[in-house]
Amino acid sequence: MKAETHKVARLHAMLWGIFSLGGMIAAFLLPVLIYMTAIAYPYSLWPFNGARDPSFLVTGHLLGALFIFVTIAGSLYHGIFRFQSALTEVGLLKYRRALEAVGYFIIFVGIIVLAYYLVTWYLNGTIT
Amino acid sequence: MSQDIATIRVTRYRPEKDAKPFFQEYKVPYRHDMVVLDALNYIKAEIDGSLTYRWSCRMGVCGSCGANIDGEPKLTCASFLHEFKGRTITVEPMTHFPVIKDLVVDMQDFMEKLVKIKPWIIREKETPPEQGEYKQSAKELERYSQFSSCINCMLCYAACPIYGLNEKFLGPAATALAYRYIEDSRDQGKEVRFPIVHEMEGAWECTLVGECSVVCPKGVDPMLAIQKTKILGATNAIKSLLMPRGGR
Repeated sequence: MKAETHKVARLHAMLWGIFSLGGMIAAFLLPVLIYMTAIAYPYSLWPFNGARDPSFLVTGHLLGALFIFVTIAGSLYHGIFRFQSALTEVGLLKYRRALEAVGYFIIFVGIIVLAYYLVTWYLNGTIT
Repeated sequence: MSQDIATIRVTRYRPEKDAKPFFQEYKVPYRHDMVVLDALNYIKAEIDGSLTYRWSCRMGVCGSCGANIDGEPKLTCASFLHEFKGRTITVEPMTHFPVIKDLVVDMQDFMEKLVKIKPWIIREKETPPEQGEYKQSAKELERYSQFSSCINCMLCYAACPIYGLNEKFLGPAATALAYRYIEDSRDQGKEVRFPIVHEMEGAWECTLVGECSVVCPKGVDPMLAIQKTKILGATNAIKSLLMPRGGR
């Protein structure tokens, strides 16, 4: 009898875990970021109260930089992972691998650039 | 008892004779308690004996009589004619399966997937019945009981757009059944079943459309089983990364 062989998608399982948990975290953080930058700052509400601009989030605290990184990188990653599901749903199975690769490359570059800017911002107090 | 007349449009197709499927319309007198399957039986008995379809129990237990009724996968024995009053009822074979004749589809692929996940209790060492049963508490039963209600009617496969696009996808019912055994406290076959459901075309191919759970006539939630299978897979993958020797 022929032995069964199954190729376990271990890497995909891990990526799915990040997608699932990371997406949930990003979904909680995103409204906070939107509130801070689009509502609280322009209308001088808490925590700005007209005194500070949103850059204090990053320049003031490492946690602030981490918060922005997790929110943006998490949202981008969640988006690209869901995009590959959408490719399946619309029947683009044939082109899925290629489109996924392009998408992941763009997201990866975006996350690296984001990390660079946040680190620079945190260390120098300004983006160079 | 008063009778109405239902207009039923049924797909007819004999692959060896017909170039493509076509609809044939029948008028069927019906009472309030009659279902679509009764109408098909009436057509076969009184109008056209060549009409071909599967059925057996007529009570939503055997899972044989699935069809697309007005575009939705349903059991013909559980769809009342009066619900379609004033409309023509269209009865087609379940989508995503090759048609053998009229409403009869080829179940081969589904059957192979069902067997693939080894739907039986696997024990490391079998003991004879004289040595006693494999006991289970009510709480342990509750963990999987809804997934054991599947009647293999294949409606979830007909509803799943991903199965329609990729027939290698293990699909809703087979994954739900695998999860049923994974969660069964008496089963010791996780090591055997895990690699099957965690192949790329196992649970991972599912994109969470959720129609499988909507159409299930027995209230099984295959989408939930697939999600839980994915969580197990992700947890195992992370464990095996962190603890390569013992993280299974």
